[in-house]
Amino acid sequence: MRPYIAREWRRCCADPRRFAFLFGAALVYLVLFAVLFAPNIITEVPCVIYDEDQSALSRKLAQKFEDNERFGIIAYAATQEETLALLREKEALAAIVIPKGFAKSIQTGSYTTLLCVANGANLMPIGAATGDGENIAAEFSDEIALRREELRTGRNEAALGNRVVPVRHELRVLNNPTQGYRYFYLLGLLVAALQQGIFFATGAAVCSESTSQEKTRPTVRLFLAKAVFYWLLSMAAFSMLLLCIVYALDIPLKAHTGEMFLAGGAFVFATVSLGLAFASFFSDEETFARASIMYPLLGFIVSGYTYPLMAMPPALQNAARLLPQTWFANIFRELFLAGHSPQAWEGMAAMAAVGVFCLLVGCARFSAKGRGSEMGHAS
Amino acid sequence: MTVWGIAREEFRQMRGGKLPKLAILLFLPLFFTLVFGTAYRNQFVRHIPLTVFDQDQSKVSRTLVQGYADSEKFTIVSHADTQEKMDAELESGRALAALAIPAGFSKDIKRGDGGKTVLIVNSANNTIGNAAITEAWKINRTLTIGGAQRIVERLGQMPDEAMNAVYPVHLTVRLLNNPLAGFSSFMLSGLGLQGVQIALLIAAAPALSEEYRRRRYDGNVPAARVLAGKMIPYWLSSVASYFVYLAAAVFLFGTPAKCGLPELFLLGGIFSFSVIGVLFFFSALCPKPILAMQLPMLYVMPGTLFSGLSWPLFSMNLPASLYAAVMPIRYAADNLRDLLLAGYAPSLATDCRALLVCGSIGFLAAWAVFSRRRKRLLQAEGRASHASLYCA
Repeated sequence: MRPYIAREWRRCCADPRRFAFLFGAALVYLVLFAVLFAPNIITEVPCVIYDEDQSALSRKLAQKFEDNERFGIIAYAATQEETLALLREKEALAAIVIPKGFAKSIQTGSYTTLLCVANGANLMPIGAATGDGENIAAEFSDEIALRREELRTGRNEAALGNRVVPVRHELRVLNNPTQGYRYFYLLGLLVAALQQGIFFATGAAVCSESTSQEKTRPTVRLFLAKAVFYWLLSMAAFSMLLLCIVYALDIPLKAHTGEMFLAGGAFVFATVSLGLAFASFFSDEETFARASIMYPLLGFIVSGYTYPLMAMPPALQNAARLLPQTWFANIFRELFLAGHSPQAWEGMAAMAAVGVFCLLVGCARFSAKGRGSEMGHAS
Repeated sequence: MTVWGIAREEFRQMRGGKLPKLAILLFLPLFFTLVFGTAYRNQFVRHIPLTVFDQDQSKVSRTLVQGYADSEKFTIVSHADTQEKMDAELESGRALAALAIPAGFSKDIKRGDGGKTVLIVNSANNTIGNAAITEAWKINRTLTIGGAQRIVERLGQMPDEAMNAVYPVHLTVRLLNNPLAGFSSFMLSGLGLQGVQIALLIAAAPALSEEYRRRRYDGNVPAARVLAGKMIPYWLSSVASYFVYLAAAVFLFGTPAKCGLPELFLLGGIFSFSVIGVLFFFSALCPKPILAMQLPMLYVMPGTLFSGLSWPLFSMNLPASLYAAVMPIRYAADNLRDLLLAGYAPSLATDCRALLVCGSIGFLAAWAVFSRRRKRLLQAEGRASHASLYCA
C-alpha cells in the first residue's frame, strides 16, 4: 500500500490543482461568505411612513419606527399615491400607514388600526421587519392602554401594568441568540465547498489513470491507496478549515474537538469514497467534472440546511438522507453552535455506511476497468 | 466558414459525447426546478416539534397550550413533567421548541401580579427559529389581550370597551406579491436561473479553450466570427431552457406569472448573453477545457447568495456589493421574481443595460485574449510544420 500512496503523492505534486481544490475551494468560500455575511443581521430595511393623522401621538409612533435599527425610514409620504409609488419602485420595501383620526380614536376610548404594507417577494428582510413592526405596535398599544387605565382609575403605572399586560412571555433563543445569518449560512457553505474540492481532487485522481504514462494496473489495492491518501489529505484540509473558522472568523467550537474530528472523519470518508466511486464511472476528467458541477446547489438545498428537511415531502427527505452533506452540514453547525448534535451518532453511522458502499462499488468498477484495459491490450 | 456554419458545427458538437452538453443545457434548470419545487411544495415550515412543561395545570395554562396545539406551525410532541425532561427533549432534538408555564401562573394573573411563560427555541436553523418565534408571538399576544380584556371586564367595563381599553392599537400586515409568504414564490425562480447559469458553465465555458486543443477553424476564420458562431447555439439553448423551467415553475408549482412574455424574453435573453460573455472570457483565459469549467465555479456558484435573492443587496457591505456587481445573476434574479410575482420590475431597464454592458465587456475581453492566443498557437503550428517540411 505504501508505494501506491507515495505514487499518489507524486502524481498530486505533478498536478497541483488537486491541492488547490482541497485546500483552496473552502478558503475562497470562507473569505467570500465571511465578507457577505459580515453584517450578520438585516438592518435598515427601507421603509416609508405615511402619517395621515399628523398628530403628536402619530409622530411619537413614527419616532419609534425611526429608533428601531431594523427600519431605515427613507421618506415620509404625503399621499397614498406617493406611498404606493415608493413601494412600486422598490425604494421602500415596507410602508407604515397611520390612519386619519388615529389620535382621536385613542383619546375617545376606541381603537385604531395601523397598516403595514410590505413587499413579500423577498421573505428574508420582510420577515424580520414585520416581526419588529408587530413588536413596536404591541408595545405602543400597551403603553396607551396603561395610560388610559391610569386616567380612568387614578392608580399608578406600577399597579396597573399587570392588568393591562397580564402575561409576560419570555423568549430564550438557543444556539444562535441573535439569529445571525453568519452562523446560519456560513458553516454549511464551507462544508459544501470542501465537498466540491474533494470531488474534483478525487475525480482527477481516478480519471487521470486512463491517460497516465505510468503503466500501473488499476487494482483494488491502488483504489484503496487513493482512498487512504485522499482521506488523509482531506482531513488536513478539514483541520485547516476548522482552524480558520475558530481563529479567523472567531466562531467558537462549543463541542469537544474529538467529536468534531470523528464526525468530520466520517464525512470526509463518505465524500472521498463517493467521489472516487463516482469518478470510476467516467473515462475522462472533463465528463466527470461536468457531472459533478451539477451537484453542489442541489445538495445544499436538499440537505435541509436552510429550508428544513422536516418541511419537505417524505420521499425527498429519504433521498436526501443518502447524501453525506445532509447529515454533516447540520451536525457541523450544531457542534459549533450548540456543542452537541442529537443526530451525530446516527449521522456518523449513515455516512460510514454510504462510505463503505461507495468504496465497494468504486473498487469493483475501478478493477473492472483495469481488467477491461488489460484485455484490450491483449487483444 | 460563415457564422452560421460555425454555429451548426458547435450545435453538432453539443449533441455528442456521453453527457451531451445540449441535454445538460436544456434539462438541468428543469431538473432543479422539479426538485426544488417539490422541496418547497409545503411553502413554509409547519409542525415544529414542541414540548410543553405545564407546571400550573390550570384552565388558563391549558388555554395557552391549546393555542399552540391548534396552530399548524407547532406539533406538541411531548408533555414534560420536570424541567430536566424538557431540557432532555430539546437536547435530543425530539423538540425544537419548549413552552414552560410555571406553577401559580393562573393565580398570579388573577391576583394582578402578572403571569409569566417562557418559550425556548432552538434557532440553529434560523428558518425554524423564525417561524416558531413569529407564531408563538401571535399566540401569546392573543392570550395576553384576552386575559387583559377579562380582567378589565371584571372591573365593570363592557366587553367591547374592555377590549378597546387593553388593545387600543391594532396592526394589520399586508404582504404584497407573496401574500402567503411561501418559499416557492420566494426562491424557485431564482434557483432556476442559477440552474441556467450552472448549465451554461458546464456547456459553454469550455467552448473556446476546446478550440486551443482542437483547432477546427484555420487562421482565415477571424476570431470574432468563431466567437459569434459559438455563442449562437448556447444562447438559443439557454433561452429555451429558461422558458422550459419557468413553464414548470408556473404550471407545476403554482408560481404566479403576472408579466408578459416579451419582458421575460428580454430578461432571459440578455441574461444568457451576459453569462455566455463572461464564461467565454474565462474560457479564453484557460488553456484546458476542464480548467475553464472549474475556475469560474468560484464566480458562478456563490451567485445565488450574492444575487440579492435572499440576503438583500442593501445589507451587503462595499466589498460584497462590488463582487456582486460583476455577477450577471445580481441583475437578473430579483427582476425575474418581481416580473413573475408583481407583473413589473422597477429596475428592469437599468439592470438589462448593466447585463448588456457586462456581457459585452466579457465578449470583448474574450475576443482580445482568444484572438491573441489563437494567433500564437497558429504561428507556432505553422513554424512546426514548416520545420518538418524543411527536415523532410
